Amino acid sequence: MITIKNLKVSVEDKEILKGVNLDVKPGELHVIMGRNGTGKSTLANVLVGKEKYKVTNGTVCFNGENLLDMSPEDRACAGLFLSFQYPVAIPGVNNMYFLKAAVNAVRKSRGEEEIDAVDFLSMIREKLKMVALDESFIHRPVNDGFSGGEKKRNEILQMIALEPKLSILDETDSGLDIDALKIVAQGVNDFRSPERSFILITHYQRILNYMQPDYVHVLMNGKLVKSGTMELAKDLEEKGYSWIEKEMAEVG
Amino acid sequence: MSNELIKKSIAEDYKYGFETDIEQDTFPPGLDENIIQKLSNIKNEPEWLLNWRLKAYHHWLKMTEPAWANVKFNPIDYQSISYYSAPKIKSAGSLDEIDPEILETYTKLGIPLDEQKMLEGVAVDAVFDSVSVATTFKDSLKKAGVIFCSFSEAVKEHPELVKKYLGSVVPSTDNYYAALNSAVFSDGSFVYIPKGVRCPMELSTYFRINAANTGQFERTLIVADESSHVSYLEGCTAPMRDENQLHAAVVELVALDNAEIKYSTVQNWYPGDKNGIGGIYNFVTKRGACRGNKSKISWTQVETGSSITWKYPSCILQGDDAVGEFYSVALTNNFQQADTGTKMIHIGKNTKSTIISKGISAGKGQQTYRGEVKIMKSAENARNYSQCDSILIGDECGAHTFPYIDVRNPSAQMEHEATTSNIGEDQLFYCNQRGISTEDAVSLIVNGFCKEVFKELPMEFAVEAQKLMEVSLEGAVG
Amino acid sequence: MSLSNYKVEFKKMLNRDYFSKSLHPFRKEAFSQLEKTGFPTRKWEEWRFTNISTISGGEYKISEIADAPQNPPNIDPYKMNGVESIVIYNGHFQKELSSVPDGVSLLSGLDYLERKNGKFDTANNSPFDLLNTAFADCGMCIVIEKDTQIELPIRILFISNGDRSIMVNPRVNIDVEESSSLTFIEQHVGDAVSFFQNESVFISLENSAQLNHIRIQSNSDFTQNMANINVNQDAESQYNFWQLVEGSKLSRSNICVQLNGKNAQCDLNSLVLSKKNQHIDNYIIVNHNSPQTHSSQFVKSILFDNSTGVFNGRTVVKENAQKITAHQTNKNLLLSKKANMNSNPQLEIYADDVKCSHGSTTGQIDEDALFYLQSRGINKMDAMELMVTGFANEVLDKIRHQEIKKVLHKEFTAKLNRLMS
Repeated sequence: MITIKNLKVSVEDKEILKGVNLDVKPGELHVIMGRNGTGKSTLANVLVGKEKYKVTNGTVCFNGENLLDMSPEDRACAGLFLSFQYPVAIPGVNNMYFLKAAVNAVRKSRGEEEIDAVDFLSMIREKLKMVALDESFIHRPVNDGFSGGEKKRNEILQMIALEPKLSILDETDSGLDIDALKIVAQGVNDFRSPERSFILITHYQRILNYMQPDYVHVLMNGKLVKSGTMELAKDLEEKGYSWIEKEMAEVG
Repeated sequence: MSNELIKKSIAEDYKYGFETDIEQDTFPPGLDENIIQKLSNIKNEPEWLLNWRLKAYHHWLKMTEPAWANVKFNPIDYQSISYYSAPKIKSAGSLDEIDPEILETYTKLGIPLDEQKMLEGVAVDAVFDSVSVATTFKDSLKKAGVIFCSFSEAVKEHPELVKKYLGSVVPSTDNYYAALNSAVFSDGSFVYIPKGVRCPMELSTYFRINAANTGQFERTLIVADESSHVSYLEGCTAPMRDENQLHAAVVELVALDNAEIKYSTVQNWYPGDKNGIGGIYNFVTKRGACRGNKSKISWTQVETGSSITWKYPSCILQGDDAVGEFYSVALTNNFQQADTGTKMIHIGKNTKSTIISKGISAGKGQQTYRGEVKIMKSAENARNYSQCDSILIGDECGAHTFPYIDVRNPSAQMEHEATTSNIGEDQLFYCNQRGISTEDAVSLIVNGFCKEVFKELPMEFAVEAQKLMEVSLEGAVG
Repeated sequence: MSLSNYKVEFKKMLNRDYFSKSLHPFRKEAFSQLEKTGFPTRKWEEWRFTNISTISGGEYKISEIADAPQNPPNIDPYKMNGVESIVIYNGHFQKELSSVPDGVSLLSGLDYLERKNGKFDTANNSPFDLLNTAFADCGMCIVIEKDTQIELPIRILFISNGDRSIMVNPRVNIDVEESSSLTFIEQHVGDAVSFFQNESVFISLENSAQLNHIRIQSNSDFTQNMANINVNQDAESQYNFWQLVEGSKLSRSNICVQLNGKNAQCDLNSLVLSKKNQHIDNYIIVNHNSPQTHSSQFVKSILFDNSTGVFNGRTVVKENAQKITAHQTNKNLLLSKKANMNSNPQLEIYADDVKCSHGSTTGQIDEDALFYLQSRGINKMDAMELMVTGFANEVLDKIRHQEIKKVLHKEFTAKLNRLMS
């Protein structure tokens, strides 16, 4: 699905990612954990092509294509989706209209026919149920005046409507109460399939109680320093991150 | 959004820029008493109207063009303009008698005058250069008691109404362009809604400038008698020409007790080409008087055309509990300039006004919101809410906001807010990440920005307005 | 408008041998320019709401030796702890009452001129700046050398007294050099019966310089006050202006700030308390000439009786001046049926990467809030006073000097009390 090799990224001349390697195969769910400021969101944003993040070294191959050469919208059309940590509000733009524009842009790129308003509405009604939102929700302006939980659920709604191949969830769990967290996790679980992959970025283990990751990685000082399975996440929850720092110092 | 992307020039041509090839009667260029006399003769006008014109003309001679607007243009030579141009084949209202070329013109503009093909529920008065060529659905309106006809016809058929209201809202000496219009106005629309009548359909005037080197000076007068209601639409286009043409119209609205007038404009005069050559000078005086208690006048405008716009649709809120509204979207791209806004003059008690203005500047466009809210001593408990937002697309355009607020009664509550910013990069990126191209994202965001205004437009117009925005913005971003 | 009175006075001015003759060419040049432009009239767009015919048609005489006090005036009522004061009485410097802190160069107009190589700043040549250049008769030039932090605020106390119709044209130059800082206070007091003060202040802030400028205008209610404040700011400099206007019959502050370097920032605050037939006008222009500059304007007026007020705030963002933030807020409280307010917040923007906004509200005391307070047992008068004080506090709290803030809070509340009872 995606192969990241020795990825180095700078923001305003400061190197944030210092050589990240990651390989995600179809159907896998990878979790990236780490403290604040270790570069987790940088990784998410550079993959979807945010201008501020400058790639200074490395390659990213997405389903056989060089991802770094593509524009943000082409990446989206190719099946890459980011659930933003802080989804932006777009006043006056109706959520449904926005979603329809996005769905049709993606369909068009796949050579599929654009979906009309009636079909779209019935499709979206189905999806709304998956994230436990009522219909009035899609007639509000995009993220404008949404609560934190509503914004995150809206991200998941967009994900299941756009049907991406690889979804990156950037701290989708933070700021959610337990019920909202369950809904979000359920939405993701229902969406899992052998063709779809996920990268989940978080610094809490709690969402993993509702999801089954294949791999867990620790991002520290701009590198993935340790990889493991669910057990690693549990260790981190119990012992924190300092033991990894020590381990690294010993190796180092 | 990087500037290289934005600097790409406009791709889409003005799609209403064709010219109709018909024989026309056109006055030689120039303006003097004889021309006015001749104009009045052609129209068989009564003497009082000729005198009214001449009085305006003499006053105009003493006036100077207003210099306060934030627009720059080469001086207009008023002696090089022809003040009257009409298709040779006369038509007196019957569609069969109209030159087929003209019918074809309106069909091409999307306004078929043939009643079978027409939009249901919209009656149209078609003004071609200096004259009204057709008014549709006249008979069905007549049944409801509504008078909807060309101005020339109204002078003949309803002189008492014309005499009573003409110049009563915009005096012939009001300003330079209004005085010029009063002297030389050639045609326009007249509407009278009798007491208690709710006009059964939308009324609409479609203005078309065709002839070269002419100016269009039309006059619209709408009178809504007690407890009546009317919704009126105005559309305008012109051929593409290298020289600038002047359009100096006057619109007067009168609303008596409990009456309501909703006046919507989609202005799409030729804006000039991407180098700023040609285009219409749109210098228009529009004003409504809420004379009666609980009367309401609502202006909605979508301004995407003209090379220069100078226009301030206003409300004089005389009656107690009168309501004035102004909803505006103005877009300037390439070298377009617009100085537009409104005046709300509160005189009566408990009068209310709302101003929502949305400006979009792209290319080298310059745009000014200029508004005045005046709360007179007599206006107890007056309320005003104004919101003027501007979006800038590209680094060569400008957006300016000049509200004047004058409060003379302490019970007034007046609130004005304005913001100016560019389209947020994070909003664009968010759309990009969902697969939407930058150009589509801009149009999406701009439409969202204008939503509060578009929702005030009648349905058919709202759709047209949205499309118009997309076309007008095309090429504004890469 | 003929300048006949001013022509006569100008001749007298040139004959005063206590003013250096080397300034005469500047005076003459300015006066001849003024003769060309004339005084503004209401036909001038920027003077639409303020009628200055009492000045243009006035018979004000230049201040003579006889207008100076015979004995040192009593300045106890204007005592302010922890500030160094310079006293000017009817245009005459009171040396024995004045003190200047270390590190401050206090120059005469002539010294200052020499220092500037003969260049005399006349700003945008507005008629009142020209009048000031022609008639400049008192004032101070303060220069803060590089890397100097002046802890004690410097105050100029302008006292206007007497019943002769005199005019005074104070001129203040403040240069704060690189990385230096100063708090400057000008306080205008006195009980003159007929008095015209036309003050010009020229401020230049070099890179990273900081100036807190506090202006208190509380002369008698019979004076005509023009304040022309011209500020030039280099990169990273900060200008904090705070003003209270409650004295004078006719007052206009022409404040013009040029933001010329990256991260230059200005914060302009003004509080107006007007009564009787006072007319108080705040005319502010902020020019964002450089990218990444920031400005805020915050002006509140409280109007009693048949007083009138004007707010005109103009923010101009020049071409290519990207990454700008600019905000204007104007709030007005009308406490009488006869009071009148004109508010014209203006944005003129020629760059696209900007965040600019303005807001303006005008109205009376919120009836619901008033009722809420009354329902909690506060009587109507007290409730009203509470609300008006609250309205003013938002501006008063912006004074960046604790001691002065305390003093002004107290004085302001006392004045408000008197007006409301």
